[in-house]
Amino acid sequence: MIKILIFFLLSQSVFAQTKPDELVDFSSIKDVLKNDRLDESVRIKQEKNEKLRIQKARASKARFNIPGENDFWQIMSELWLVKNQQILKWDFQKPDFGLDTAFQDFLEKQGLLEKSFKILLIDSANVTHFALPTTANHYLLILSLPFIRTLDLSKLEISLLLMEDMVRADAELFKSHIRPTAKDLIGTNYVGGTLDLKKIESVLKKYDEMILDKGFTFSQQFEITKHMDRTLKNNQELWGTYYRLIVKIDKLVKENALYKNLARIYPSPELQLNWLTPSKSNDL
Amino acid sequence: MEGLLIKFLLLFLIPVVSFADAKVIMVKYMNTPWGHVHQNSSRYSASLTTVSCGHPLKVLELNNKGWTKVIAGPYTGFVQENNLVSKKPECLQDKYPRFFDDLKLEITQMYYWGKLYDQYVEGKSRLK
Repeated sequence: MIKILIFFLLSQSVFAQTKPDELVDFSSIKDVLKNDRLDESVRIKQEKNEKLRIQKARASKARFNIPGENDFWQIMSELWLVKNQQILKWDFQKPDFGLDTAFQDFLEKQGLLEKSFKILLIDSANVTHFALPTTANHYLLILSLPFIRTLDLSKLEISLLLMEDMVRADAELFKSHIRPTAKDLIGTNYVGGTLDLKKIESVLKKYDEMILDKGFTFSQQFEITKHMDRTLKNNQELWGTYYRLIVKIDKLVKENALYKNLARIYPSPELQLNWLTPSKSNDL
Repeated sequence: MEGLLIKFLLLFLIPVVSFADAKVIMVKYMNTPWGHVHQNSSRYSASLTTVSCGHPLKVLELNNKGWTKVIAGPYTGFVQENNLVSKKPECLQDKYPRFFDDLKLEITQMYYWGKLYDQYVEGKSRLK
């Protein structure tokens, strides 16, 4: 009992020494705190929180990203196809022509390896054949069924036509036509604003312009024809088939009013024949 | 009265039994921006529903001539095998969520976007 009383008195005297208004001075125990690494742990915690805050802000901003170069073209090309379904008439029933295996074999024989392709057959003569821009090493090819039926094209001729489109896609002729309009969109971010749908519409209008109206220039067509010439000359049979294909197309655009537009999109089969024939070469 | 009770019980039991028969093998995910679950294993067969990329589908039968039998919500139908993947894919809609929202695509446009992947003739040249 006496012990408890002494302990009580002692503790009272200790408390009595500190006045309630007096500020506690921690400087004397600063070193102790430092040794406890409390400052360090506080700093690590603050850094972690800051990192999390930045990450969250970045993720939140990234939600407003507009697709970059690799995804932009695929999205725009497919959006254009969806919006032009009525003009192109691609949603229709057709037999399996075995185009996938035929074109795959053709590419492998030409040494064009690891190339993924998607062919969309359309039931319209509005577009005869075209390569739309898409992701790298992928090709999105439109091919008109009425066109190949009118010309009675073989699988080899179709493959050559599609290869020509692939060469155009590799040369980025289509992309270079649209890029000035699309550059304000590709890979940008619109956080704090709204997506400018007018800009998207302008890009799609450029698609219309290129695919349905203006097409390629003479000099672009010359370069493509010369590239095909150089590539196919190693195989005379293949070169001959390509030449005869252009003869067929030339005859078609001259005789069939339905395909008059073709010579405007790909100018022109007649000149292509001149460029392909060495004796009548007509270099630009 | 007893007969009526049996019929009533059968009415409840038959769907349960048929559902139990449909054994789910695994879950696969749609790997195209939009895709269709078809009534039959043909790209031209009627579309039961349109699902977006990353949508989980319960697989009932694996790759039968390029088609996989799946359950999508209340529908049981067929999806082209090459439009499915086993792991949740990185979808364009997830990469650019606000962009796709703000494009304000109509339901018919999503339907046709799915149809595109039914119509594509796809291939890849390979090293031999």
